[in-house]
Amino acid sequence: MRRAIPTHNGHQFLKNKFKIDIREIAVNLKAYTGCIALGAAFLATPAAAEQFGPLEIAGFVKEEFSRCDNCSPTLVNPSSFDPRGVLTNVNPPLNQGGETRTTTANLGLAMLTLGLSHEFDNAVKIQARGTSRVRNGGPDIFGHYMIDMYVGVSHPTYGSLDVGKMSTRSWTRSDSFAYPVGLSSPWAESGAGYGVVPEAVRYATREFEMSLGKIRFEATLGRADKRPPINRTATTVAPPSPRMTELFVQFSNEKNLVELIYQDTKGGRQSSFAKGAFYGAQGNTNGPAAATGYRAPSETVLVLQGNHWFNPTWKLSYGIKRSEWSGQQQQCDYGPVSAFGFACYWDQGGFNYAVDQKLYKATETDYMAGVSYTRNVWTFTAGMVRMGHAHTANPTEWGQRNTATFSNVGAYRKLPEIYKNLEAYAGFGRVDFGRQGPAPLSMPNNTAFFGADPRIAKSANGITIGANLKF
Amino acid sequence: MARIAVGLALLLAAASGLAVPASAASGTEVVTGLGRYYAAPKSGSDPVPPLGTYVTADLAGQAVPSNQWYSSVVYQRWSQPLYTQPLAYRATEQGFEVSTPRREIGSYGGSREVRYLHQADFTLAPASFQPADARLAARGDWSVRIRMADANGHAFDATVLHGSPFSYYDCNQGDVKFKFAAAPVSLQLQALNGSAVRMVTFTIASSHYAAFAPEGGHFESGSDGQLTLHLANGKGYFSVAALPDASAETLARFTAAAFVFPVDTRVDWAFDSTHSRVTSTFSANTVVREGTGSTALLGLYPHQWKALAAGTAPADIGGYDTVRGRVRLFAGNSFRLERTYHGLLPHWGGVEAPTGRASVDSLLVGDLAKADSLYTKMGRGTYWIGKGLGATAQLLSVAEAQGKLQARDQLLAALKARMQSWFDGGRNTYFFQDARTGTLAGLPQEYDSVLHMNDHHFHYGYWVMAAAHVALRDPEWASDVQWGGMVRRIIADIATTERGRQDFPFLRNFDPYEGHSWASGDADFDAGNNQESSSEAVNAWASLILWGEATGDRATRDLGIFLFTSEIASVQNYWFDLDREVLPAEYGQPFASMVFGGKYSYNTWWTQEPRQIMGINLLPITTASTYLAADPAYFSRLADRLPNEVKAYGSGGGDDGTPPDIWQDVIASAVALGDNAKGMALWKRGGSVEFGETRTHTNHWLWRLAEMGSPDFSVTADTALFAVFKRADGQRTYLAWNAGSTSLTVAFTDGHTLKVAPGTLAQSH
Repeated sequence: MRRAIPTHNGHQFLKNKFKIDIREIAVNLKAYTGCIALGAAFLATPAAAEQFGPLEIAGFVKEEFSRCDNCSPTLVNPSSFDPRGVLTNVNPPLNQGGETRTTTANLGLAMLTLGLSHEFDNAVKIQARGTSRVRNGGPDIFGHYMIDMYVGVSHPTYGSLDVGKMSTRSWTRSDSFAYPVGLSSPWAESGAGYGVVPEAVRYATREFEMSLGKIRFEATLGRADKRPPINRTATTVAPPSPRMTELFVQFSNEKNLVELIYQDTKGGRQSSFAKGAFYGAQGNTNGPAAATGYRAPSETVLVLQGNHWFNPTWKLSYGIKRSEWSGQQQQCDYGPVSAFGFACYWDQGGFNYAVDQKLYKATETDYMAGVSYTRNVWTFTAGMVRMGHAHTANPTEWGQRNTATFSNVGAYRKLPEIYKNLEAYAGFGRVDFGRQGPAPLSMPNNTAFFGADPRIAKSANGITIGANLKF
Repeated sequence: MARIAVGLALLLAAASGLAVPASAASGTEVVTGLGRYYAAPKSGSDPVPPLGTYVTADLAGQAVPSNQWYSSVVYQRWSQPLYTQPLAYRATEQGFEVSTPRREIGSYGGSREVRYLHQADFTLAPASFQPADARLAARGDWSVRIRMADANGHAFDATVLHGSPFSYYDCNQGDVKFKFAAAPVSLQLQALNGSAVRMVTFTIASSHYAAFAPEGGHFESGSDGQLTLHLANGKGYFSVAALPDASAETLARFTAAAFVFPVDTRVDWAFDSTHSRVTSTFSANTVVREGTGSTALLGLYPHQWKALAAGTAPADIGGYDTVRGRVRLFAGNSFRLERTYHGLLPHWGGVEAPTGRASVDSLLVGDLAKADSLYTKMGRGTYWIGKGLGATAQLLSVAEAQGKLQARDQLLAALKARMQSWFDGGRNTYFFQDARTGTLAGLPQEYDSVLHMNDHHFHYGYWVMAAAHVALRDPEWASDVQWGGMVRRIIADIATTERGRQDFPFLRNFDPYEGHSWASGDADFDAGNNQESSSEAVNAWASLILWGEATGDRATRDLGIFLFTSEIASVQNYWFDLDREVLPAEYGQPFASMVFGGKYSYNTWWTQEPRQIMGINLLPITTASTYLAADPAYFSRLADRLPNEVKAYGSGGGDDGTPPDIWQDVIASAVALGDNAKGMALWKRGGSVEFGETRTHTNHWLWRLAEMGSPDFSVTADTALFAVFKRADGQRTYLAWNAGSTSLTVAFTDGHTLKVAPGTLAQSH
C-alpha cells in the first residue's frame, strides 16, 4: 500500500500525501502560480502550459457574467478632490448617480504567456518570458498590455537572476492563494502595493533544506521612470525617483505552503490598487502653502499567507496583510489645454491627506480565509476577506472607520466532456460594510471588487457564472 | 513595518529549522558505531507504529508481523479477508467465513480490475460460546493459526495456509455450526470409514466443498438447512476443503489427506554460486490427527509449478482457477523450486563511443551541480530522501564508470553526509526502534510508513542500495565501528531471517509462498494486502545482494538473491503476465499495476495517468532492472500504446497536472533493454526527468545498451556480480565486479572467462 487510496473502496481513506504534492502542482499551475514540488515557484507557469521544444505557451481565456442586487451601475468617477472616489458625498451627477439597483456586468479576461528557455548540459538555464493580459479588450492593467517581459539565467547552486519588466509577488502570489476560493480581487488587488514593476532585477536563491521543510528567498529591486509634471515650471519639489524593494520568502513542506512578502516602495504614486503598475509621483507642484509638509510618498505592504492541506480533498487558505501608506498630497499638474491657456489636471491622486492640507500616515490590516473541497471534477469553495479599520490621525474620513467583509461560496466543475482544460463555475458572493460611508482604505474606490457603494448600500449580494479555458 | 517583516521572516525561517537547531533528544539513545537510534520518537507528537493487539500470549513477546497477507488479524478485532488461494477466509463476530472467490471484471472508479473477492459461502462458528475476538495464535512462513476465544478459555482455532485447498480447525468446547450464505446444492451427508456421518459434501454456486469430522463426531442437518458438527470430548478437530471437482476419485484423495494437519510451514533457501542457481524449499510440518494418511495436499501457484525442481512436477490431480491463475494440486509435504540468478552489477562500465562518452560527460557537469536538489523534489521523509540517495548512488556509479573520479568522490561524500545526517540522530530526521512492535522506523514518515507501517521495503531499499554503493568504495564506512550498524538495522527491519524475534519479524514484507512482497502494513483492505511498485521491491532485494557482496556478508547476499529472483518471478507472472495465463482478455489491459490478495488493478494510488501506471512498476532504473527484458518486446509494445492511452485519459477528463512527457526517461530506459534503438529514440534529452533519476544516468544507460545490446539470460557466471549482454550481431559483452580483496577469475557458462582485479569492474567481448 502506498500513496493514496482508490475511491472505489468505501471504507478506505487517504493515508498519504503524495497525492497532495501532485495536486499542489496541478492546483498551482492552474491558478497561475508556482509549484512547490517542482521547485519552480519563482518561475510561475500559467494554466496547463504546452511545451514545444524550448517554447512554452500558456494562458487562459475567461468569460464571466455577474449580477448584483444592490450595486451601482458604473464605476465611480474620481473627482478632482477625490481621486479614489471615496470622499465625496453621493451627489448626482458628480459621481455614479447615487442610485443602487440590480446590475449586471460582463468580464472577459485573457492572458497569454510565451516563454523560451534552454538548459545547457552544465545546468545553466537561460530563459525569456513575456506575458500579456487583457480585460474586455483593453489592457488588464492600465497602460500595460505586457505584465512580464524579462530574461533570466539560473543555476541550481547559485539561484536565478531575472532582469526586465515583471509582475510582483504581492499581487501574483496573493492571487494564487485567493483565486481558488473566489476572492482574488478583494485579496490580491487591494491594499498598499503594486502589481507590475517596469524595470526590475530579481534574484532568487536556490531552495534550502530545513528541518521542517524547504525554504527559498528572493529579492527584487525595481524602479519606475520619474514622472515630471507637464508644466515643469510649477515644480517646487522635484519628482522623486521611484524605487521598489520586494522580499519574498517561501516555505513548504508536505502539508503547508507558507509565504511572506514584504514590498516597500518610495516615490510611487500612492493608491490601494495592489494590481496597478508602479508609477512615479510627480513631485510637489502645489507649493508649500497648498501642500504643507510635502514629502515623497511611500507605501509598504507585508503579507503572510499560506495553504494547509488537511488531505488531498480539503485545503485551507489563509492570509494576513498589513498595508501602510505615508499619505500623499493631491498634485495639480498645470498642463496645456490650448495654445493659450493652462488648466489644473489632478494627475496625481492624493491619498489620506486632510482638509488642513496635511499628510497623514495610515495603516490597515486585512485578513483572508477560505476552504476548498475537491472531488473528481468538482471543487467547492467558501472564503472570506475582511478589511479592517485603518489607523490614522486624519480628521478627514477617507474610509478609515469603515470595514468590509467579502464572502463567497463557489462551485467549479471541469468539463472534460468538452475540453480537458475547460472549467465552468458559479458563485454566490456578498459584501457587508461596517457602516455607511466611504469604503475602507484598502479598497481602490467605493465600488471596487463588487460594485456596491458603501455610501449608499451597507451590503449587497451577487451571483457570478463563468467559464475558463486554460491552455 | 520593516522590523515586522524581518521578524516574520526570521519566524518563518525558524519554523523551518533555519535558525533553530533540532530539538534535543528526549528518547533513550542506542549507539551503534558512529550511529544512533532512539527507543522512541523524540517528540510525543510524532507518530508511532500501531500495536498488534490481537495476538495470543504465545506471540505476545514477538515482533508484530506487519505487511503480511494476514496482518489485519493482529491489528483488528475481526480480520479483513485473508486470501490464501484458492480459498479466502475472514474472521468475523459471527464466525470464521470461508469462500472460494469467483471472478468479476469491470471498471471501478475508472480503473479496470480483475476481482476475485471474498464473499462468504459459509461460516463456521462454535455453537456453545461466543468468541470475543480473533487473534493470531501461531504463524509459519506461509500459514497462520487464528484463535477465536472467549474469556473462559473456550477456543475455536482455524489454521489456513497459502495454496492449500484445506482449512483446519480445533474447537475445545462443544459443537460447531456451519451457517450457509445460500442454500447449498446437493448437500450430502456420508459415512466416513464405515462409521458415523463424518463427511459432508455440498456445492455453493459453482464451488464444491467437503468437510471431515473426527472420530466420535458426526454431522447433522437441521430443519433450517444449516449443519451442526457434533464433536466428542477431546476430539475437537476437523477439516474443510474446497474440491476441484465433485468426482468420487477426488473426494477419496481429499479424504485421505483430511486429517494431515499442518502445524508449521517453512521456507529455506540456498544459493549455488557455481551454477548461479537459487533453490527454495517449502516444507509443511504436519501432524496426523487420525487415520493412516500422511501426505498433505498443497496447491502450487503458477510461479511455483513453473519452477519446480526436476522430478517434482505436480501430479495431475486437478486445480483451481484463482486470481493468480491456475493453482495446481500437489500431493506432498514439501517441494523445491529452482531458479536461475542472472546477475547484478554496481555499474556497466563507461561508454566507449567518443560521441556517447562526451554526451554523458557533458550532462554529468550539470547533474553534479543539481545533486543537492535530488533531495528536495518532494518530501523529506524516508521515501523521498531514499529516492535522492538512490539517484545519487546511480549517478556516482556513472561518474566512476566514466572515469570522472573527482565527481565520483564528490557524490560519494554527499551520499555519506546525507545518510549520516540521519544516522547520527542529531536532527529531527532520524530512526527509532519501537520495542513495542518490533520495527526500526524513520521520521518523518512518508505514506504512513510509521502510522500504518507501509512501504518499509520500498523506502529502505533505496537506503541500503546507497549504503551498498558506499560500502563498495569505502569498506571502513560500512564497518560496525562506523555506520554499518545502522545499515544492518535497516536491513533487519525488512529482511530478518530469524523467526520469533522480538525486535523484527521474519521477512517483514516478503510473502515466501506468493513469491513477492506486500506493502500495506496493516492490510486493512477488503481485497487483501497489496503491492503497487514491484520494481521498488526488486530494488530492495537487489540492494541486499550488493550490500552482502560489499561487506562479505554471504548470508545477506544469498537472502537477497532468493528474494530478488522470487520477486522477479512473481512480477513476471502476476504484474506483467508474460505468459498470458493470468490476466483474462476481458480485463483489457496488458498488465496489472497493483496486485492485491484478491484482485488486480490498472491504477496507481495517486493517479490514473497511463505513463505513471506503467512507470511505477519500472522505477528505479538500475542495473537490477535487466529482468524487464525477459520479454524483449514487452515494453516496446506498451510504449506504443501509451500515446493513445494518454489521449484517452485526457479526453476523459483526466489531468493530474504533471508534464505530458512525465517519466519519459524511465519508460525509454525500459524499452531500451529490449530495443536499444527505440529506447534511445524515445528519450528526449530536454524532456522531463523522473524525480529519482538523472539525465546523466539515463544517457549512460542508453549508450551502454546501444553498445552492448540486450541482457543475455542464456549465460550466467560463477559469481554474484556479473552481467552478460548480446548485440544483434551476436557479439556478447561479459562484465563482472570483484567486491573482494583478491583477484578473481570469473567463469561464464559459455566458457568465457574474465579476470577481475579487486574492487573493480572488468569486461570483455
